[in-house]
Amino acid sequence: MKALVVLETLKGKVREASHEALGFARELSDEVVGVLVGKEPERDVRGLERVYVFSDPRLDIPLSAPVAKVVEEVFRREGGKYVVLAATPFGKELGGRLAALFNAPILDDFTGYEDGLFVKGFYSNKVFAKIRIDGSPVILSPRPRAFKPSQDTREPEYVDLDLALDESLFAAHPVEVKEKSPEDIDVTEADIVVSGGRGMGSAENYQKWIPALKDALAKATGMKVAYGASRAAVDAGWVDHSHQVGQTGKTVSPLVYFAIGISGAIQHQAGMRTSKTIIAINKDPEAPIFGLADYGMVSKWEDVLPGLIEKLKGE
Amino acid sequence: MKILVYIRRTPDTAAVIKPSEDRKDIVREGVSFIINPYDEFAVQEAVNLKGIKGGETVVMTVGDDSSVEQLRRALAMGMDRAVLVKHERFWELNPSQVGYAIAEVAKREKPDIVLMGKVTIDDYTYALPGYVAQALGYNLLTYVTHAEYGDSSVKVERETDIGKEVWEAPYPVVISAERGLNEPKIPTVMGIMKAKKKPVEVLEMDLPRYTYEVVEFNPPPPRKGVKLLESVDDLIRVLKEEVKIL
Ligand SMILES: Cc1cc2nc3c(=O)[nH]c(=O)nc-3n(C[C@H](O)[C@H](O)[C@H](O)COP(=O)(O)OP(=O)(O)OC[C@H]3O[C@@H](n4cnc5c(N)ncnc54)[C@H](O)[C@@H]3O)c2cc1C
Ligand SMILES: Nc1ncnc2c1ncn2[C@@H]1O[C@H](COP(=O)(O)O)[C@@H](O)[C@H]1O
Repeated sequence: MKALVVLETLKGKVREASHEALGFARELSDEVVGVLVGKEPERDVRGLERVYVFSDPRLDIPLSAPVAKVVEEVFRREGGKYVVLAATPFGKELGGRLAALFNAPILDDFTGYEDGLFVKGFYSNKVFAKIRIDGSPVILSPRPRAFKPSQDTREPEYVDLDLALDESLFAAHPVEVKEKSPEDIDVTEADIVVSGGRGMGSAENYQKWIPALKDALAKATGMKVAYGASRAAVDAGWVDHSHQVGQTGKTVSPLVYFAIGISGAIQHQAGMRTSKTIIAINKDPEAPIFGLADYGMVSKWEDVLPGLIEKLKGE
Repeated sequence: MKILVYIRRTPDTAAVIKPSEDRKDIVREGVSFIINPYDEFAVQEAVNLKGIKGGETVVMTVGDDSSVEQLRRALAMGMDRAVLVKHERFWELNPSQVGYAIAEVAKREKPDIVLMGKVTIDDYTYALPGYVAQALGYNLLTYVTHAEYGDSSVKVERETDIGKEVWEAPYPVVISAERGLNEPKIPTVMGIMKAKKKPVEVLEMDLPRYTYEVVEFNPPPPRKGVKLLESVDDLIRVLKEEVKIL
């Protein structure tokens, strides 16, 4: 059965999350057709039968209204059982549009697929649901990092789309974009997240030690490391709320999550409990975070971080 | 200016959630329910905006009888009137069914702005804003952390994985709220009194049907338990030998 995969681009390159969505689609379908949209997207994707390309200078930042129109056109030509797109902020928005457009059921932000059922965290990952969903089509939007990028090497045939899109589709548009610096990795995309909480004690402490550990880990491991925070640290104004982890912040599943001076309230746990390894540093042995952590140090962070950073520099 | 706000009854963020015995649902006894936290920003935004621009504010939900509790709270926060699209076990609906109901109400109310949260914290879907914008042919601004409402268009700040962005769109528009949009206020006693007299209209609606069900709920996979480390050297060894990131 055929799957259409929306390939989201940034600066002409297909995003990692879209490669993962493609990997998932390949698991699901024996025929995979891509929809590649952007401002001059690069034609170097692998693992699909065909890729429809639509380029438009107005799509430097992806816009969901015109992209929905492009996907509609490809669907009209190709049909398909599944419409797959990565659950990035853009993909989540587009997924809703496609569900309305195709009168289709949708499953967004799921993390697994086993025996024909989908796995998704409900109630902020406090429980996990196994879901049956079917239709023609079904809109499926896997969470970034949940699936492996496609290893399939087949070279697709590229088909140019020549569509005249109505100006009204561009009515909602960006007027200014302050891109994050490449070092400011999003907590949801990181391999390692270093989070600090109220226990850091002050803005100066948070802003000195959390980035210092982050940088030391990035150097020592070569991995993508991001800094995160509990809501208490965010509310205190120590760090921007885009770094908040938890039920009303971001949900992260890194390889390693460091919780430093974080008690582990249920709302915080909701955002990080699916991390592969959790390491907690907290001076209170009764802190609930130790109920979740794989490794713990019952200590003041002041007695751990300086030495840890020093040792990491030697690695 | 006419504003329609969609809200949802969700468990309190502090609630402990466990699968029910038959695994088809969660244990609901003893759980307290709130307005989905992101939808609360939407309610406050509508109330603030009416304070500046005047007009009418309508709050709606797709829910069961007990969802009236959340509608009343929104009315107490300052919304003018409420619409309940009645559905028992509304939490089992697919987002597309909920989106359909919101769009149907919007077609009748013809608001300039539809506001809602960026995500619902129960079924964890982000699909509603996109669905509703597409179904209505409205413009769409998602993950909004700040908004300035002009006469014919709205200018917003939004936060995505790309960075901080400023967007503009003419009305009518669907806006989804990100944390930071405003500070929701706790209803005053006066507000609560007034809310009792505000109208709550109940609608029955046929929703589209889909194959969509939770076959079973499971608790999160158990973790293996904490290993306590005594020193930085211990931690370095663990990062090397067990976690294998060094
Ligand atoms: C609607 C709602 C939504 C929420 N959403 C979120 C959310 O998304 N994310 C979130 O994180 N929270 C959220 N919360 C808040 C949550 O309930 C907690 O209040 C918050 O997580 C606490 O943050 P914290 O662990 O940093 O602070 P605290 O709970 O105060 O913990 C600080 C910890 O630091 C330790 N400590 C102190 N000094 C040191 C030291 N020198 N060295 C080492 N350890 C030290 C203490 O022992 C303590 O355990 C939400 C709450 C509500 C009501
Ligand atoms: N001294 C300790 N060392 C490690 N873990 C602990 C310690 N004390 C409590 N815990 C764990 O922390 C979790 C929450 O504990 P409590 O906050 O006491 O309910 C429990 O799961 C305990 O196993």
